[in-house]
Amino acid sequence: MTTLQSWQRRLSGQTISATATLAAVLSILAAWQLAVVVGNRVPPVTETVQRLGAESAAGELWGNLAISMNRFALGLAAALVVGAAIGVVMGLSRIADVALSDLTAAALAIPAVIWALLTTMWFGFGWLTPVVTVFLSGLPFVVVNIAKATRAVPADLILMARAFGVSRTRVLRQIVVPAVAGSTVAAVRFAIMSAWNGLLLAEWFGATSGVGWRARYWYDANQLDGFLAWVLVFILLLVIADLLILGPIERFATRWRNA
Amino acid sequence: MASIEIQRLIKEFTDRRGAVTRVIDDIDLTISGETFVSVVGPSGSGKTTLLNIVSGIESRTSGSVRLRAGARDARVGYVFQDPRLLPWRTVMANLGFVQHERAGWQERAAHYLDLVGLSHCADRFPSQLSGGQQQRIGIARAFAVEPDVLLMDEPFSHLDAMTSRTLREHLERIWLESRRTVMFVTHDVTEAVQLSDRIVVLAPGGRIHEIIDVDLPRPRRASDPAVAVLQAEVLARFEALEAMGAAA
Repeated sequence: MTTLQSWQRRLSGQTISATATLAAVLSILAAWQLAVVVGNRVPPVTETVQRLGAESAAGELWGNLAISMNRFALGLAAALVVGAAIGVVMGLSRIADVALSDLTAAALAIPAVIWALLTTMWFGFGWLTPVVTVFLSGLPFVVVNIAKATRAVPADLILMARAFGVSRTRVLRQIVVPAVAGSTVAAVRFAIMSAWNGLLLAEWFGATSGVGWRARYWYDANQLDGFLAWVLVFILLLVIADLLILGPIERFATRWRNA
Repeated sequence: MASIEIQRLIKEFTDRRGAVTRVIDDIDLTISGETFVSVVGPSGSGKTTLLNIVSGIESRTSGSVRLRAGARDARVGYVFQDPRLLPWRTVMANLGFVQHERAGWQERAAHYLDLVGLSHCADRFPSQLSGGQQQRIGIARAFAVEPDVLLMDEPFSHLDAMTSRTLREHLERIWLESRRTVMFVTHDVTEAVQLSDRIVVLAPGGRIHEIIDVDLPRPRRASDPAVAVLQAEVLARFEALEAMGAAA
């Protein structure tokens, strides 16, 4: 294939992708507008965006967002570190796998709202409640995916490397890491989705600041546009993180599959 | 001068009930210099186990194996039954992976890629190549480390007849150019006669049954009358050995 053909193919792929994204956004807006017309007390998109502007002008938007992101980053980092360690041990050891797999399955089955309620009862109103909820909501997804990835490291490639006398560091860097990369990114994606829900609920029930708390503020005030404005922030952050950061990382880590 | 020295090698497996099965039985074998040695034998004669022990992939029960190049340990290249390429690395990066950071590896890799006729595939991923092309990359990778000793485990057994014939010709041409010490495991007598200076025939149970010298001019073609005659002779002995194994 010539370079020109390759560029044409890439450009065509990008055009299709941009069109699909635009179609998705338009269909969401159309559904929202339909709900405004036929529904009861659904504020229009414009009103919701105006309310978000007002929140920003009042200094509520960025401050609460920063607090929530801080809690989220702390909880997620802890879940990734602890989850990766447990996952690797479960992937390598049959005994650890048998000992921990039921516990992990049970943890996966517990919805984020239960963790949020439990941590609120354990820790009360404070930073620990959302951080621990994020940690507990994300942890099982990391453990399951990393364990699966560790088990999937191809043994025949390890033996090949040993036959050629390749160093352990190089085996780790060029066989183990790429072999687990795809599943690791998938683990992070699932963990973020689950932990993000956990954060909203924990701040809803057990915090006096943050995105979840501010959404509840407008809910308690019976102001639907304010409530929806914060839900919109919540959804947009998740979508942006997935589309602009995690999606490209996953595509890069698994680009050889589509070559 | 490189050499493979195997002395009184024994390999046994013990199952869960404690029953011991001997798969390599007291093998003494020395391969030295620019020699191409094939190891043939019926299924269960321990060919692959022997090669795995020689390469260090598998442990031995007793005896010794030494791979030397003069006063130092020999550098080893290995061609497996399947190509065993890293799917997430390009062809060139795959050749670089086993290179031990030695200077000038790109030139060597490019040279051997050229010899197997795949220099145009250097930037492709393995998934973009056919099975035969991947195996040729596996051969280029083994030669590109400039091994003192080259170990090959039925490298053409998963390929169709035409592809394996072409690859045998590639292999013989590269070997004639580089002249490594080769230990080549195969179940294909035709392959062994075409490529080898000596053929070690293993009997069921992992003993050496006989060693046949192949004193024919190179390069050889399967259609050469002298090659065909020797192939028929070795095949007859091989079939007799298999019949003995089946009767036992």
